[in-house]
Amino acid sequence: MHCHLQHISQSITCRLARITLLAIVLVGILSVRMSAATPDRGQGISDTVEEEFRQRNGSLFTDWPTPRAVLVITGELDGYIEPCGCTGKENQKGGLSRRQNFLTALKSAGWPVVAVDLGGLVKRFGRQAEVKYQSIADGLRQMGYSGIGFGPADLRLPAEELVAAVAPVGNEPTPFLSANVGLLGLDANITPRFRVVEIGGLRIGITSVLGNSKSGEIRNAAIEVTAAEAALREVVKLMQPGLCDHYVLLSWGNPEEARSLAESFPQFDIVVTAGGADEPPSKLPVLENGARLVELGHKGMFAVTIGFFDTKDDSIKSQRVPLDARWGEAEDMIDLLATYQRQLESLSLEGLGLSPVRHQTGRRFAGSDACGDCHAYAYEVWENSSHSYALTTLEDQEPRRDSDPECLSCHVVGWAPQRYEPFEGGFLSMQKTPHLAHNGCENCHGPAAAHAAVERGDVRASVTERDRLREELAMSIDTPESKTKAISNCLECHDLDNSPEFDFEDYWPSVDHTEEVTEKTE
Amino acid sequence: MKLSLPNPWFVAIIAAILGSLTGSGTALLRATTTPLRTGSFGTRSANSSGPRPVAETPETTYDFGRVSLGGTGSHAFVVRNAGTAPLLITKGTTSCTCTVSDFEGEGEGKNSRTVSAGDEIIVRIEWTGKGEGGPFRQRATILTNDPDQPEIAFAIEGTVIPTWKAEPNGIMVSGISANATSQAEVKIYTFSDQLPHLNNCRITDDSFADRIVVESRPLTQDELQEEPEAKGGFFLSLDIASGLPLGKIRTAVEASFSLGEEEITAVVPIAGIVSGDLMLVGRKWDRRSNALRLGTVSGQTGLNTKIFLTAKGEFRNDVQPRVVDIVPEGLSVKIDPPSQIGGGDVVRIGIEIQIPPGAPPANNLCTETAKQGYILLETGHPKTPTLTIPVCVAIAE
Repeated sequence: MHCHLQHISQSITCRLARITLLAIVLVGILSVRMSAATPDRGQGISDTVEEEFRQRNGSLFTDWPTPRAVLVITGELDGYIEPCGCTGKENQKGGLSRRQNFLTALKSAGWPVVAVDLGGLVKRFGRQAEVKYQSIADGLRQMGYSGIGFGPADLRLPAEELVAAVAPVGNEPTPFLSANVGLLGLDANITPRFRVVEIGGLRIGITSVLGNSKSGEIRNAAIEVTAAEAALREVVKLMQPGLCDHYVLLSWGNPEEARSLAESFPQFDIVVTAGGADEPPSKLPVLENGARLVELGHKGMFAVTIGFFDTKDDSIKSQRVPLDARWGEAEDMIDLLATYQRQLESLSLEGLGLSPVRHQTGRRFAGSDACGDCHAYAYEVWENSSHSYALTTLEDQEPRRDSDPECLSCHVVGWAPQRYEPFEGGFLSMQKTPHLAHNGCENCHGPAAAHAAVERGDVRASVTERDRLREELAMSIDTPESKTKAISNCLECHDLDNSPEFDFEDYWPSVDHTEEVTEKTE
Repeated sequence: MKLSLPNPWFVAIIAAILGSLTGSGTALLRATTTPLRTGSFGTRSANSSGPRPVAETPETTYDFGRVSLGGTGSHAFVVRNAGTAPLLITKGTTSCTCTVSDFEGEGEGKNSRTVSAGDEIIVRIEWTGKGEGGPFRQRATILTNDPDQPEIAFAIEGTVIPTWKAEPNGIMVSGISANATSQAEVKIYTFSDQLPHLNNCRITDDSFADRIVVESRPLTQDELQEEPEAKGGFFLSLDIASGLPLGKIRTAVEASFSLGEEEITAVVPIAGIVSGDLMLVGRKWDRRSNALRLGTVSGQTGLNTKIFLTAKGEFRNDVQPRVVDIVPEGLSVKIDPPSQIGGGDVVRIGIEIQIPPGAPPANNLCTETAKQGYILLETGHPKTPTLTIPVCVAIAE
C-alpha cells in the first residue's frame, strides 16, 4: 500500500482529489457549526419546552448569523436571585440560575461573550441584604462578568461589607468598576474606574457611573462619590479614544441623565440606564448621536444582548432575552442559593438583626388552634386550604426556605408581610412558636391573644370590653369599603411578585368561611 | 500482497458525499425535531406561491400616558388580513398585569378568530396600573398562521402614578460613630392635585425616639421638580444624637397625613450600624469573628494582602498608627499615611501585610491547639490608644 501511495501522490489527479476531500470536509464542519449557531435554549431543554416559551415570550436571535462577539447586559436584579415570584417558577422570569445557563448557551454556540451588569444587586438593606449582596457578587464572578456597576441601594450597605464582597480575590481582578464611586475613596483603588476587554477580535471599553440624581441618597462617609460628568471626563481620557471598537457606559441614574451623558460623551455607543419601565423595550432606541440606549427592566427578568457583526450595514443587532424556563437551571447557581439559605439559617433572626416590633394594635398572637376552639367551621375551612400548610411548602422547597425572612413573612403568623420582620408575639421558630406556623387566621383578622383569653375566661373583662375585642377582629365583605379593606389585606401577600394571577373573586371561594358568630355560654 | 487503491476521482466523490452528510445532517436533524408551530397551526407551507394570509398591524405599541395606581385602561389594536387566505389568530400570553380581551369584530370565538382576506379585527388590550409606580411597560401576544409573523407582540407603556412615594424608600445610616451626631433626610412626595396636610411625624421605636429628632416642612418648588408628576409633599430631616449604643439601629419614621378625605400613613424604615471610631475593613477581615483570616500560606510563595483602618469622629485626624508587635514573626506590616475619604468625615489608613517568601514556619490558626497571632498597633486615638488585630495564619515550610 505504501508503494502504491507513493506512486499515487506523485500524480496531479491525486493531489486534486486530496484538496477536494479536504474542502468537502471543511464545508461539512462549517455547516455543523452554522446549524448549531443559534442559542435558543439551555442545555438539556426539550423542544417542547423551548416551543412553549417561544410562543409565550417570543423568538430569539432570528436571522442572526454568528456574531464576532456578544455583549450581554443585565442589571437591576433588586435582590431577586430567583425568578420573580415564588409561585410557579416556570411561569416567572429571571434569577441567577437561568442567567448562568443563558450565558452558557451562548458560549456553547461558539459566540464570544462579554457580560456586564449595571448594578442594583439588592434593593433592601440590613443583614440579609448584606449576605445576599455577597452571594450575588460571588455568583456574578463565577459567571465571568467583566464589568459590574453600583446602584444606590448597593451603596447603602456598610462599606466594610461592600469591600469584602467586591475586592479582588487572590490574583483575579474584581469585576466591579466605577468612574465616580470609590469604596473607602477613589484613590483606595479597590475597584478600577474602567476596563478594556478583548473579545472576538474586538476591544470593548467599559465604565460605570452613579448618576447625580442618585448620589444624594448615599449617606455613607466611607464611600466617595464624585460628579458623574467630571469623573467621566477623566476616565474617557484614560480610556484613550480610538483604542476601543466600542465603548459601554453603565449609568445608574434616570433615562434623562443617561441621554444627557450620551450627548456629552459621544464616544459611548452603548449607554445602559436605570429607571426605565418594568420590561425593556423590544427594540433599542437609537439616540441622535447614534448611541443605543439600553433599558433592562426590573428584577433581573431580562438580559439585553448586543451582537457585533462584520457586515457594514448591520454591524450591531440587539435582542431582549426573557430569562424564562427555556434556559433551565444551573447547578452551581443552585448550590450558591443553597449556601445563601444555609447562611440565613445559621445567622437566625437574631443574627439577621430582626427583633420583633410592636404591632400597630399593641396586641399579641394566639395561633389558629386557639381560634378553632370556638370558630370550628372557619377553622375547618382553613385546615382544608393551602394557608394551613404554608410553612411546610417552604420546608419542602429545594433548597428549603424556612429560614428566609423574605419568605417567612407570608408563611407564618405574626409577621409584617412587606417589611419581612416579626411582630411582638409573632412566629420565631418551630421550636419556640410552633402554634404560629403557617398562614393563619390572625394574619387577616389581627392579633387575637387578648380576645381568646377573654373568651376562654383566662382574663376577666366587661361585656363592653369583650364585645370590643370581638369587633376589632371581625371582618366582612358586605360593603364596598369592607371588601376593599379585605382585598388590601390579601394583597399584602398575594402581591404582583408572588401571586401575579391573584383575583379576589377567583380565590375567595376556596377560603370563604362566612359564619354566624355564636355566643359562648358563660 | 499489494493493495490497489480505487480511482482518485471515485475517492473524491465518496468524500463529498460523506462530508455533506456529516455537516448538513445535524442541521436537518435539528430542523425536523424542532417543529415550527404547534397546536392548531400547520407547519410552514412549502408552497409559498399559493394563497396565504398576511397579518398587518398599523401599530404595535401604545403609550397611555399617565394612569393612577390601581387605575385601568384599554387600547384597541387593529389586525388586518392583507393576504389572500383566511388569517387565524389566537390569544397568546401577556405580561403580569395586562390581558387580551375578547376579540371585537365579525365572527364568534373568545380565544381565536378567523379573519377573511381583506377584513380586519380589533384586539383590545386591558391593563391595571400596579406595582410601585413609575415607568410601566407590558406586552401581550397573539399567535397567527401568517408564516412570516407567527406571533405579534403588542406593547403598552406609560407611567403609573402612585399616591405617595418616599425618596429614599429607606434610610440607611451606615457607620455612625457612637461619639458623633449624624443626620439623614427623606422626601415624601404626593401626586394628587389635592395638597397633603401633615398630621403627625414620629419615630416608631420608643427606644430610639429620644435619640432621633424629626423635623418637617413642606417641599419647595425646586424639590418638587426633582420628582416627575409630584404635586406636594414633605421634607423630613432626622437628627441622630451621639451616645447611641454600639450595634444595629432598626426603626422607622412614620408620617401621618391627610390627602383630601384620605388618611395616609407613610412608614420609611431606618437602619444602620453604630460603631466605634476605629474600624477594620478588608476582604480577609472577618467581621463575624473579628479576626484577620489569612489561612495557610506557602512559605515558598508568601502572601501580600491589604486591609484598611478607618477612623471617624472628632479624633479621626489624630490617628497615626505605629506597629508595636507582630506574631508570628514571619509577618511584616507596612502602614500607609492617613488619607481623607470624600468630604473628610472618615480617614482611611492602608495596612499592608506581607509574608515574604522564606518566612519561618508558624501555626497561629486560631484553633484549640494553635493560638491566634496578632498585630499590635499604637493608634494615637486618645480613647483607643492601642489596637490589637487578631491574626489567624499558618506559614507552611
